[in-house]
Amino acid sequence: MFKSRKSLMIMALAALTVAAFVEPALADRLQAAIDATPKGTGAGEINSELATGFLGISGAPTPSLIIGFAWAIWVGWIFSTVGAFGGIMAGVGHITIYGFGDFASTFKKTSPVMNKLVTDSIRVSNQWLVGTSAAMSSFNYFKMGRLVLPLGLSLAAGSIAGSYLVPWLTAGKVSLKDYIGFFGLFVLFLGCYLFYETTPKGQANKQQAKEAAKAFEKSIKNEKDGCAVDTECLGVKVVSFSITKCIFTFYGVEFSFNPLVPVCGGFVIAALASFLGVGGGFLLVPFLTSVAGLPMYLVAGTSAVAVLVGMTTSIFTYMVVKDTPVFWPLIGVELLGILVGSFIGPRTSKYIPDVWLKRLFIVLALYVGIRYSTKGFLGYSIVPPF
Amino acid sequence: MFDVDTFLAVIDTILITPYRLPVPSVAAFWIGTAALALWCTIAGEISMALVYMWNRDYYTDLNQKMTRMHNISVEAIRHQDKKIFKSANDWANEYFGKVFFSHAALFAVSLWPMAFAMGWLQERFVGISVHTIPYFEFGLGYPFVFIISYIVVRYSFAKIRKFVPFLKRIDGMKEEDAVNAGEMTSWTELAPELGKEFKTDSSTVKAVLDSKSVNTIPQCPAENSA
Repeated sequence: MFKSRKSLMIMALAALTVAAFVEPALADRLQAAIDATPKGTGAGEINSELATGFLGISGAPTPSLIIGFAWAIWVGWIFSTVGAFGGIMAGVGHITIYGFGDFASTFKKTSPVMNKLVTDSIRVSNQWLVGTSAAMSSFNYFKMGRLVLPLGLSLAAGSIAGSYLVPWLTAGKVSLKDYIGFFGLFVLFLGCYLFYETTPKGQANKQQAKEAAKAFEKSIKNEKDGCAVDTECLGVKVVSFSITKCIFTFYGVEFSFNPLVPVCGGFVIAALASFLGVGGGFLLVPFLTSVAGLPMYLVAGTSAVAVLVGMTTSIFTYMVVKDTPVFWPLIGVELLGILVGSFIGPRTSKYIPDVWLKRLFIVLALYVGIRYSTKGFLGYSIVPPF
Repeated sequence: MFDVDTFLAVIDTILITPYRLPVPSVAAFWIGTAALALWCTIAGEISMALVYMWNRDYYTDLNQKMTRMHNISVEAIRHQDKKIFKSANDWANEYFGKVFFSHAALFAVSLWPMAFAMGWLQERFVGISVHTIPYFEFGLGYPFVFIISYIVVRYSFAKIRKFVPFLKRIDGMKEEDAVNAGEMTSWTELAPELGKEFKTDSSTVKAVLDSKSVNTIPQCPAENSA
């Protein structure tokens, strides 16, 4: 069926195109939510007299383009220097900085439909912003053919399941409060992971690994012919295989992994990415390295398939199957901000040591994580602003 | 003083003009949208090129680090040193993460005009079905026409970009930077007989990155997982 990478590409683009067909249906869901919301001038009501704002809803906040732009510069700066945390900050922008979170929460009692529609819109907007960029970027690696197709396809299968099921099961059902709570928990987890990396133990491991690699590089430079590989043990040789453990040699070096892990991993990562509205690439890369033991050369193309397929499925499901609207002008301003952030990011980051960058993001992750998870699950924030 | 409303009105006039060509309305819609897609493609490509030029040292440095660690990991496998393979591979992946997201930011940069175009189209043509899918009565609106046009225009533009002096210069820079970043050792080079067909004059990076040659990669660890 998929004989070439081109046909896969065309399938993905076709699916994205279909995702964009949604205008009439999109208007329906939005219109239904507006109809279901009481009209008036009070909190949680729609005042038809006021000008239209977010998603064309009367009286909705119109995000300040200047604030949106400034925030997106920050997102772009992180994106082009640190990486994954940019997606989290894009989410924080959609939830807090532009005021959509507060707007959605006013409908908590008066119109749960509107509350959930805005929550879905935040999720799919995050994904449009960070996910499509990640997917398009990974597509380049995909074209290079550095891909382990069977693994890529099993991850992709898991991704399709996760990226379809999550929007299908949760669109229109997740309140802003729950979404913020889970988003906060995820950021806290990320903060803890970053923190571990800056602890003396984490630093020592990394440094040790780098020194060992450097010493090894030096030693091989002194060899004239290098070491010939025994042609008997080229590539992969499976030593033993069972449902839970596969032992194999890779050019004569022994490795093992659990064959169920890639399928489940693809599913879990895609489901999480789809739920939170992120690309998932930053979870897949360490997953493929540490769990599947894949060399970097092949991680690129293999993660590309999973990100591309997962993103396409997720956006398709949110927008086509669940008719979730997107506020395009804001996405445009944010992309412009990323443009400026990408200009200045690499120029400034060289003055900040990596470890201090990580510490900055640990503080941010802890703050955002604690604030969102307590606000989501307890109903109030234990860190200011309360 | 700069008047935003006047500016937007001028932009609106420029964008809507092709939609008013004296041809059948559906054809005019496609032509107008294709023109819009062309504006988006040009603005996006130029933005991406400027960011690339501005940061090319940074991107090359990241690529160099990634390539170096990857090459150490290949050597480690050649020497059957699993510990070094894992350490070097971890670092290679760390650098790959940075390369990945900096490229993601570059792509985001190239897409910014598209979102504004969608916003403008929404303002102008929301609720209008340009085509209807027979039997399903499913209306296809401006997003369908725009996305299709954008893909076709961007693809065609990629084919002719080598004739555009500024973009041709950028492509030259990219090739030069790829060479500076170093040659990424392919796993096929571990096998002498596969290596022969692969090797290595200094059309090098191109060969390494060429999908056809890399497709000869033998099986690797996780291929068994399928």
